[in-house]
Amino acid sequence: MKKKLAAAFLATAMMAGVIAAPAAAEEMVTVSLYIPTLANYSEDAITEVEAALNEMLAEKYGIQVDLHYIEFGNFETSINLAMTTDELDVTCFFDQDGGLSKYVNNGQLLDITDYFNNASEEFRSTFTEAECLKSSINGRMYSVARKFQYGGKGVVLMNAAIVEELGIDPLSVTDMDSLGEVLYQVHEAHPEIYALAPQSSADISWVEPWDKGVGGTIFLFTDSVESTELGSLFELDSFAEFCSYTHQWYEDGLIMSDILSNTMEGAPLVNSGAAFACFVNADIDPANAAYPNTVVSGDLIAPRATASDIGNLQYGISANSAHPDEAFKLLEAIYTDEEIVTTLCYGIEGEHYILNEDGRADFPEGISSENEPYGGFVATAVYPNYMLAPVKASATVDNYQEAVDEWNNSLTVSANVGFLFDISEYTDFVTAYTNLKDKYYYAVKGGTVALEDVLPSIQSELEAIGFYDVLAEAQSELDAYLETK
Amino acid sequence: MRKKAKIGKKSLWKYRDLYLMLLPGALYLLINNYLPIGGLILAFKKYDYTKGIWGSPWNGLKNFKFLFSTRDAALIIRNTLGYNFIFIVLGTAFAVLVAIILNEIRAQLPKKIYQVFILVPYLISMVVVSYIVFAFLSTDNGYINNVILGKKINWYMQPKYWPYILVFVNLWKSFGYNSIIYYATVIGIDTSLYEAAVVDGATRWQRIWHVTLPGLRPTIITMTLLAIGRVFYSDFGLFYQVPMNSGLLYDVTTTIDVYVYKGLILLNDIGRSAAAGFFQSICGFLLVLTANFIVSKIDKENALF
Repeated sequence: MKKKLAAAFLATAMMAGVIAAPAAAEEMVTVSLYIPTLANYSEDAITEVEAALNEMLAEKYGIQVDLHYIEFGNFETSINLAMTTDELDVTCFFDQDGGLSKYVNNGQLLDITDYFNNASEEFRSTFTEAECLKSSINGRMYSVARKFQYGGKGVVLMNAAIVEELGIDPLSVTDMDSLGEVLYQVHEAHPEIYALAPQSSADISWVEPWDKGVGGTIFLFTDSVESTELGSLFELDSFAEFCSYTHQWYEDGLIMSDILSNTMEGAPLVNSGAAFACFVNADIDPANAAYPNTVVSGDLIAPRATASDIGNLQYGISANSAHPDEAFKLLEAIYTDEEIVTTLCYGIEGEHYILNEDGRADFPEGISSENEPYGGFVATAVYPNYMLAPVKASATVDNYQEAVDEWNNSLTVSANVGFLFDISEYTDFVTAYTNLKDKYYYAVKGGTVALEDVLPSIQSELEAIGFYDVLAEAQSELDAYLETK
Repeated sequence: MRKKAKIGKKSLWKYRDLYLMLLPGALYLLINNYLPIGGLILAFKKYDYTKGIWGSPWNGLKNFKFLFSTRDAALIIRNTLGYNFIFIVLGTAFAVLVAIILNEIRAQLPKKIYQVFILVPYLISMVVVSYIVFAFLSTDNGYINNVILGKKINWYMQPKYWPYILVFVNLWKSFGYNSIIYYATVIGIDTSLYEAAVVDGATRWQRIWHVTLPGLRPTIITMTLLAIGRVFYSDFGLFYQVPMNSGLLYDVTTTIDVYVYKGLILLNDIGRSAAAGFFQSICGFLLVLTANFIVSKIDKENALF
């Protein structure tokens, strides 16, 4: 009888638990989180990670999360659509090319200034002054920057076998002249391969000497990160100098002849031996970490952060979110809660990653970047604050936070950081400029045409779309901003 | 009037099965083609994501300004219209020619095989087409430079070749589909007309000229009028993907759709995207009306309405 009673009691308790658990979950608000995929994620893995996160979030914050991983190429379109309804709560977005001002001008992002001011000290102190500036427009905060090292340095990735064969000292390559010497040497010995491949698609290099993205725009540049004199990209001395090298190299057959129609990345070409070298940007991680058949040159461009480098990836809350309070709670959690950050970044311990005896995170046996079911371990850079996660076994640093702080303090930061130029009155101009820039930029930068040959046409077209008037207005606003800075 | 209504109700009931079959298609048309017309209001609004379509403030004709505010305006309109007119003329001529040739083939199996072969390009995505074109035109490894010419031409840097390349690619991709439509019309022409022509001693060429082509005329007119309605639109894939977005080719590859895409992808400006679409639709609609008016003056039977 006792057994029967005990069984009945247990069964009732179990039933109550089954009924009560969903009821409790139903009371909790579910907040959606949109993240772009820069690696492979299986549906099963996402579901497992989401369940694990929800267990932690329910216990600590009383909320639930709905993870939306969107393919990188479709990400912007998808979040734009999702932001027209209350479907999206928290999202990652790219701030290069004026992303923040675009979303704010369109009324897509929630003003989180008050939330931020009332947030925990731990959350507020996560962000540097420069990062807060890059998340704000007219003193109001609309997002928070992804925690990451600022900017980068310009180096050249070279094929290790050819370097060894020709006795090249990679560290002797420290400027365009020394790079040119090596490229001519390689071209003579190996005319069958590209001496210099573009860094990505039609772009010969992502790291350039000039300052870009000034004012959160695509059309304001200065000659260097120290300069505050705005100009047209095509009229900068540093741009002209860079292009004079690339044009000569293109004419002499050193650069991939199909650069304008190229769709490949440079680094894999160098790694496979189809190309000898390509420009890459490096930071605290070695630039050749993912490419075993390559070596890295000396610094062609010293570590620096352009106006668009800081906070180039941000997290914000949709203005149409039905649950802004809970959305901000989630934002705080994914920036400050070590357990949640680690699970979001790396997945589930023992399944998607393991912790070695030294406390470093590593792939489980039989799993690599090729077959990782939860791509977060590979694409960690996209997450809000990877610095709270355990250091990876492959990392060359012992502590992410210290390494990033050291890096950030050592580089030159653009003098124009924090300045935002409101483009809402210049949208017609931006459209015209975008088309003009696309027409000439890659062609000139990659050396396929000489800058001096097309500069008169470019200047005439810039004049026609009113570029110089906008430039003058932006300069006066920048000067005024710098006076108050 | 009452009698008419009664007949209407009667016939509605009498043909209820047919009306029922019509219903899904009609609903689809209503939901997919007519309800979104209301969204054209966006062309006159400064769209605010928090306020939605109806709550966003009016913006007058400002959203249309960007299409005409640069000196590129003439260029992109010229490219859009120019290419479309060439596509209509050459596309129609080529598709009709192929349809007639297909009709003249007597063996059934080869005819079916040819039909499949000519239809395949139509089914290939433009992104794939762009890589097929690249395989032919690549400077270093392309078939044309290496096998046919034996010299290096950098095709993606030479605007002078691209009007021909784009027209060729468009014809290659679309002629199969159009020729099947014309072929379907050709096989529907009353065979007694051909028999009568044979009895009268008409040669094959004369039968084509005096029987087949007049039989095709209504289809050609309808297809052309439909194509005219879209002359302000362009195949984005053809003009953006096939030239691999090469900047040096912009003067001959930038059409309205490409210009709008490149400009607005940065701004997420729904209002101006809607304005561009509105402009293209209205111009196309007016052109269809005009063309149809001209057709009705020449041959009323073949006009659309």
